[in-house]
Amino acid sequence: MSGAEVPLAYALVGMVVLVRALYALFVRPHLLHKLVAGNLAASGVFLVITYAPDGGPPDPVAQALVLTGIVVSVAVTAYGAALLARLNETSGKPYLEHDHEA
Amino acid sequence: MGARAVLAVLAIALTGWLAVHLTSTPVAGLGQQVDAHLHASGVASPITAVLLNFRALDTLYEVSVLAVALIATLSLEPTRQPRVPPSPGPLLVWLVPRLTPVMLLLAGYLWWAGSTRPGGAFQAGATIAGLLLLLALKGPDPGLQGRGGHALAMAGPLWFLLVGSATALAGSAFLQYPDAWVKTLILTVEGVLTAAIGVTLALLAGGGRRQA
Repeated sequence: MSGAEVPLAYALVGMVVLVRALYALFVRPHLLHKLVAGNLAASGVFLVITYAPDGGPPDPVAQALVLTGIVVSVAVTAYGAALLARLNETSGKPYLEHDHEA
Repeated sequence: MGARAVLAVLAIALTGWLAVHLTSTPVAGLGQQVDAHLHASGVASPITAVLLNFRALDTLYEVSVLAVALIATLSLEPTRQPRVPPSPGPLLVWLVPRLTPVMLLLAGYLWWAGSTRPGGAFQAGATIAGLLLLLALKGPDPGLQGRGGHALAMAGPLWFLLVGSATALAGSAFLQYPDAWVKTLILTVEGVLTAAIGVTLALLAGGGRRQA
């Protein structure tokens, strides 16, 4: 376990990353953009979760939670990318129909 | 453009709201409870203790998520465009054979280190996955797209389930390791998970495509 404390700045940066990525997730029609934005949003959440307000080392349960979250987000990303590749092969465009028209 | 402006304002408001809560909410973590029971977990690293002992069931679910993601990806059958055969440059040809033993050593170290310091099955598995991808890029492909690779990928959750069922049948609760066996069981579970996670991640990165 790392003995270093996690400064508040990390959590604040994580929050900005989360909100900016959520914005991109809603605004960008290209599905690859959405996939990357979802990943970035998750990374922002991880930074916030490991923030230890008492200035000590991060909570081990929080670290385990983040480690689990990273693995799940890798799995989700891989499946999303495979879905996206399949959609692109089948329909010829990497957009959802209504998003493309909007 | 109106909708975007509203979204942007909402996003900024959300940031402010989160910032206020983050700095003002007191948090009672579980760190002290983990430290208090660490001696009973069989390992010295609090994170490994949480992942493989206190909340082992969550880790079982986690490797199951990986397995389900792999099954779902393979079931998409994205086979119309087979993967381009590797055409490695001189760097890969020179580097990969020299890097292979180093990465295997690193994965072994991470697996073993997990019981006392940061490390463990997921870090070691990610190293194995990186090695497998490098080998696939250099060619010849390690050939994990067949049944052998799929069986190896599923071995992680299955072995975990087997250990859990064995502890339940032996009289303790599901995944509650008997004291004398704690460290051995955690290390074997982590060892099998390392291999399974490595293969699963490499197969996922390949998108389930077969070699051309």
